Formats: sequence, C-alpha cells, structure tokens
Amino acid sequence: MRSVYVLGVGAHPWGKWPETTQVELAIHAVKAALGEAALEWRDLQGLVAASSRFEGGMGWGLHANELTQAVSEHGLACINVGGACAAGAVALHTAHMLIASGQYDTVAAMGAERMPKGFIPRPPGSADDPADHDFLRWKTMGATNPAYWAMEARRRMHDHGTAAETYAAASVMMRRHGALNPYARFRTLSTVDEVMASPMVSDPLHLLEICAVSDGAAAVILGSEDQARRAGGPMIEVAASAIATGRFGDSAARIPTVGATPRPGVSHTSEVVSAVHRAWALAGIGADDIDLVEIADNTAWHILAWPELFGFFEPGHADEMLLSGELTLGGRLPVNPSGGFLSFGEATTAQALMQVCELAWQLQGRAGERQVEGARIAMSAVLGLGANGASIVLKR
Amino acid sequence: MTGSAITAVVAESLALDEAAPALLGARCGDCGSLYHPRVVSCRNPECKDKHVVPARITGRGRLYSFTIQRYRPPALFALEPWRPYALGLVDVEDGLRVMGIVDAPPDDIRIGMPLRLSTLVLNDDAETAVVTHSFVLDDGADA
Repeated sequence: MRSVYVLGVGAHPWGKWPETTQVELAIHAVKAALGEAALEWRDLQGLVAASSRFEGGMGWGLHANELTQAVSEHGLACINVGGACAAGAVALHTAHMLIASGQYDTVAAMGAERMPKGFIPRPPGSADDPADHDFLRWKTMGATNPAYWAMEARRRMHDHGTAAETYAAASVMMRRHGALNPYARFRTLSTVDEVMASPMVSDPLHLLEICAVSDGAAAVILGSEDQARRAGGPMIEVAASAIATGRFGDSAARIPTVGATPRPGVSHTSEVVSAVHRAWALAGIGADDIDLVEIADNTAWHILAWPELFGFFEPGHADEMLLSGELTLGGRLPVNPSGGFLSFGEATTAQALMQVCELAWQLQGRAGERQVEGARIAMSAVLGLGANGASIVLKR
Repeated sequence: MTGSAITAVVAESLALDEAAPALLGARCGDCGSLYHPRVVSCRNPECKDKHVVPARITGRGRLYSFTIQRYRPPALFALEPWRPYALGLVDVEDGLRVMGIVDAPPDDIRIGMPLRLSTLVLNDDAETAVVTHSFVLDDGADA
C-alpha cells in the first residue's frame, strides 16, 4: 500500500435541474476537479462511478462508461459500483485502492444523480416477492423512509428526553451552515419556530427536519504522492477509507426492513459505526483528533444520534452539545459545516462524494465563511440502503 | 366490512387460516433465531448449520417505538379511504422485532404498551376484503 492524496475535488451545485442531464452534471463536477488537479480528461487513468441508488443495481446514477463515452474516449479503466446512498464512498474506496496498489496514478471517483420528486419509491420493475422486505414495507404498511427515521427519533425522546425543539434546533443549525455554502440547495436561514410550524410528515419529524431529494454531482480525483506534488496544492492525504456492512443483532430501524433481530451488545447502525472505527484504526486516530465531521443527516435525529454512536459523546449528551453551540463552527466538534443533507437534499449516489469535497475544502482552508479554523483532520460517515456504511478520513 | 371473503394483502406473509392471525416467517433449527419475513438461511454469523424451517409468529409483544404517517405513501399501499395511521416497531417473541400498523387512537399509543397481532381492512368491495397485519392493545384475554 502506498500513500494516496486528493489531487482535486469539484461539484455541481445541488438543486432541481430538470434541464440538465446527469452527464452534464457529471461533466461540470469532474471538470472542476480536473481544474484543481491541473489535469486534462485524457490524464485520468481510471474512473469509478457511484452508479446504483438501490440494492441489486436498480435505479442508477450514472455509469462511468457513459461519462467517458460522452467526453473523453481515451481508453481509461471504468468501474461502476453500488452501495445506494453510500455508493459515493464505495467509489472513493475503490479509487483509493487503485492508487494505493500502485497500478494507477490518477483516478477519479464520481457520482451524478437526478432524483424523482417526493418520497423515494420502490424501484420500478422490481418483482412482487413476499420474502422481500422492501415489497412488504410498501405493500402491507406503506412505510416511507421518514417513518423509519421518525421511529428512531421517537425512541430517542423516550430514552433520553430529547425535546421536539432540540430536533428543530439541529435543523436550524444545518440551515445556518448551508446558508454559507454556495453548493447547498437550501440557503435561507430558519428558526426553531419555523421548523416546528412546518408540516408534520411523520411524528415527531417535521418537513424541515427531513432531507429533501435533489439533483447534483460531485467528483474527487485521487493520485499518488508524485501527482500530488505536481498538482502543487496543499498535500491532502487520504488517511483512511473504510467500508463495512451491517452486523447481525443491530437494533437500528433499518430501511426497508419489516422484521429485525436486535441483540444486546451490537452497535446501532453497525454498518456505519464499524466503518468509522475501522477508519480511525487505519488512520491511527481517535475521536479527540477529529476537527470536523460530515455525516449523513437524513434527519435532525441523525445530527444528535450519530456523534454519540461513534463515541464522540455519551448517549444522550449530544442534545446539550448542540444547544450549547459545541456542534457548530467554532465549537468542540463542528458537525456538517457544509450544511449537510438537510441543506442539500440528497442526490443519493453523489452525496458521499460531496461530503469528501467538503472535507477537502475545509483542509485546504478554502471553505470561505464556513471554514473550521485550523482544521487538520476531517472525517465523513455515510449510510446506504443494503446496510452499507462508509467513512473517509482526510488529513493535511 | 361488506365483503364476504377475507384475503391477506400478501398471502405468503400473513396466515388467516386459524382463529388468530399469524405472521409467517422462519426459525433457525440450529441457533433458534426467529425471522419475519421468511428467509432462505439463518444469518447469524455464529450459527454453523443455518438451516431454517417455517414458523408462525402469533405476535404478542410490546411497542418499541412508533410514528404517525401523515402523508400518503406511493401507490402500492392501498388504504381506502386514505387517512393518517400509526406505524410501530413491536418486540414480539424470541428476540424478533416486527413492524406494522398500530390500530389505536394516536393519543393512546405509548412506548412499552402491550400489543397483540390483529388484522386491519385496507380496502374492500362487494366480494372481498383485503386485510393486512396490525397490532392492537393486548388486554390480556386469550386471542
């Protein structure tokens, strides 16, 4: 294994872009990353696409082959990976290994997605299989994704006394960060009262406490140490890249399951917790070393629960950390300086790569008004359907 | 209900052939893990044999958590007429947690409340009532 560096990152702003194709979104993102890396399309030796929104390869993003056939036919290696909402991190993990192995010197990981409106539905064309949780959750009880998150949020209120207003405050914080990020879709400030007054979607979660779906694209170009020195920017190293899947006995309300086997002693959201702890071990770091995190805040509940699951705080303590300003810019652990999924809306396959873009901008000192001062180590954590978890650690 | 025949919305998942409804699943013959829906293999990594046999889950348990779903989900779910409803996670027997509609007034629903498996009519016409599994307050009587 040799060291791997970030040569450049780029993104297309998140939004609803009905006039722009996925290929055009991807070209925009990769071009921006190529610019940072001081590379041309023809210099890319490999392209890994986060190409599957669902399990079983159903409902994609964009294939690497479509992009290269559209913009640069120079014979590069193309790989397409699944992983649902974690696909971007699985793509980055793959690109990382291609470089680390010594076989490639310049590889881009890319995700581009245009999402349908509203609740993410069952993928079209899937069979009516009575052993398939996803079929049963729709057919027998109509369980939408927010219903799963809402049951976690309700349970936290029961276990830790989290107030409805605290969830709203988490959303307000994300919007405040997002207002400072030109790539975010939702950039107007909000208040606790406004969040509480937004429509109740799935008790206790209001509309403004749940991430929307968006269109967007992000790209990260990785390379060898020689390539990083040639590119001339600050040396941003991939300190660790880890992926994992769920463990038997996990008690999470995991989309789309309708039956689970919780067992004592198994971590909640084990696919992500396992990936994070493996990443920390690979990087030789612990919770105290991390200057900022980008996490998959599908809802306000995630902002409170995930830092506790990873071990940043004792269970139930994130509420106090949030309310005392320790999770925002200038606090002890800035969570999602980008504004997170709550300010972006999720462009599923691209989302984990957007997280890595933000880590890189923060470590480069190029995050503008949302800059975490002096950031040296930054990590991401993401969850995808199919019990996919991933975590990337970058260091300067 | 007006229908003369009652049918499960997914017959392979919900049995209506006895007095009390049962969810259909599987139990591992080696480690005893209980699953719903049915599975092709036990997935406990500590389990070597992994051979599973069909199981009926009578579904008495306690509510782990719940929500009120206020927006109409995509079309596969045919609740007619549409109205908001409660969904819950219920710890039933042998370490199995299942999800289903909680058929109770929202204000009466509490985490930890005892529940038992029942059925709820999703839609019906002159000939048939289509039901799904649900959970209702378990008053302790034999069901």
